Amino acid sequence: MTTKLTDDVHWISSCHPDDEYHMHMSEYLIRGENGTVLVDSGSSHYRDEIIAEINQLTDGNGPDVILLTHSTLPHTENVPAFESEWGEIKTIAATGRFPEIVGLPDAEARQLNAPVEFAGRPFTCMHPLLTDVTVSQWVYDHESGVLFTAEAFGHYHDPGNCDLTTAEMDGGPSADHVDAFYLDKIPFVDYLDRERLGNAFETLFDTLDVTYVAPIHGNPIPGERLDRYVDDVIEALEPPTTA
Amino acid sequence: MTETVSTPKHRELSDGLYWTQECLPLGTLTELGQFDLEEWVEADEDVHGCQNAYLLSDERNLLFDTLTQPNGDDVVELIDDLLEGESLDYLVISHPEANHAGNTFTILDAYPDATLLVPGEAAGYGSGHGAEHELYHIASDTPADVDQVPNEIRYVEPGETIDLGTHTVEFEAPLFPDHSFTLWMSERTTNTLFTVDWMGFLHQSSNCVTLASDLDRDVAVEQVFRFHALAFPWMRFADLDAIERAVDDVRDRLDPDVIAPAHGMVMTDGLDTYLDRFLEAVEALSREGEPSNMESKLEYILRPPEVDR
Repeated sequence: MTTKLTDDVHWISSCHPDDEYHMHMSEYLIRGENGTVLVDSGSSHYRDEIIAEINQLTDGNGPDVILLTHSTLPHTENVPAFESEWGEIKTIAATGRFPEIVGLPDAEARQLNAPVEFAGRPFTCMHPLLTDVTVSQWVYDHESGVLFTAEAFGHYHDPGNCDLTTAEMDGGPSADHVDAFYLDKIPFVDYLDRERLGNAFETLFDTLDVTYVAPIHGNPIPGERLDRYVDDVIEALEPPTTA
Repeated sequence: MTETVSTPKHRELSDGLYWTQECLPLGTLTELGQFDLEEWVEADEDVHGCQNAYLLSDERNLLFDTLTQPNGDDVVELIDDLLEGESLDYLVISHPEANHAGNTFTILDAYPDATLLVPGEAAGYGSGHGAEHELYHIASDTPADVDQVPNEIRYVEPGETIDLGTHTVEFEAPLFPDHSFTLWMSERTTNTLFTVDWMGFLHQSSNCVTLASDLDRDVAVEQVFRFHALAFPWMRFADLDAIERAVDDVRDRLDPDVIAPAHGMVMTDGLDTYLDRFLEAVEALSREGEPSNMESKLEYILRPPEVDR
């Protein structure tokens, strides 16, 4: 399904169910001055529905640029299928060198820490403050103010909350869902100095005017909700005492 | 500079234990001017990153990790040569990242009787949502329907062992993982600990597939620092006491005689020295995460486009 986040940023989401809760597998389509930018390509498991959503958003033309937040599966695995569907697409890998070793021989390497134009629109890619694998990047869209992230700022959600922003969820995302996601996905929580990481998050959001944090594995978080959300994340990174 | 992944080199570490390595030329000192490398690189030397995979040839044969897709055919050819016509029995994937698992299905295709062993539990505290194969694809050439692959595919957990004949491997819970599905492995006869992403370091172009103790110069803390800054960016925010406790656990509980990383040189002597260098490196790395450093770094990174233009 697709949800309009801002005038020109569309959230395409699929939900992977588990016994107790769902996990998002999201992509975002941005309409630039000179074309469209797709953030992430999603899992092959949801390929047909992603292609259908993108076709609807682009009048069947497909994206002009694919910007990957991770160079691991399942974030990258639809790139070849998208090129079969729509022809060659400029693809930016989340690695600074050797995109062929992450399975993307035709992709371009990322450029970090300075604005770069895609589809006539400036983006800044940065190394994430918190991620799992190093071949990942966060992307800030200067025009919309949306910050795209993975894996940090993900969380699970209840069935029924699939297409809501965290502001639209009754009480916001539950602390348990945030907690469970981080304990599943960030295997090095034991070694994190949470105060220093929390300070870095605070500096990030003081420096950047963020309208939404748009995660690949969670509901988008409006800027006005970020302070509380960051507190939940830092709390979630506390290792369980009974492990 | 030509940015081409080298074809795999190899050497025999001990009877039946082979180390294979492909290198990634990162540039010379001039090209990497932003690094403080004078301590360990000459001006005209290329700096290399690398990927390692390890082959155990015994009554039953096991490969730990796959190197990367540009070398798929070369990897199969090398395994064929080293096994001298015998078949591969086990392919173990340390974690589902392309630079570790990229040739998984190329190798399985070449050895249809090989069993694929993959981490079945998350390395952290959670059970790992999405562990099933629909999402947990291993490589970009993963077949659309994994059920149709003739090879047996099995999840393994820390503590499980495989008897290969003379050698026995055991899967270990990783102390320093990046991906949530990661396994370390140890081998009992040689007391080798395969530490995957941890304990790697960059090397000079003259030192490919060379034991750390045989390198033409000492390993500098900067080499270790630079690698871990790339592989474990979270170490900027490390709790140094917790890191030191984990290293002590390696020294005391696992107590290896050989450390065989996925992105550095195999260490066979003076392991305490290399572990100390890691601790120095992570201490230096943690200084990057101090609030004043993060503030200036983020202000630089996130400056608006008008300033850049």
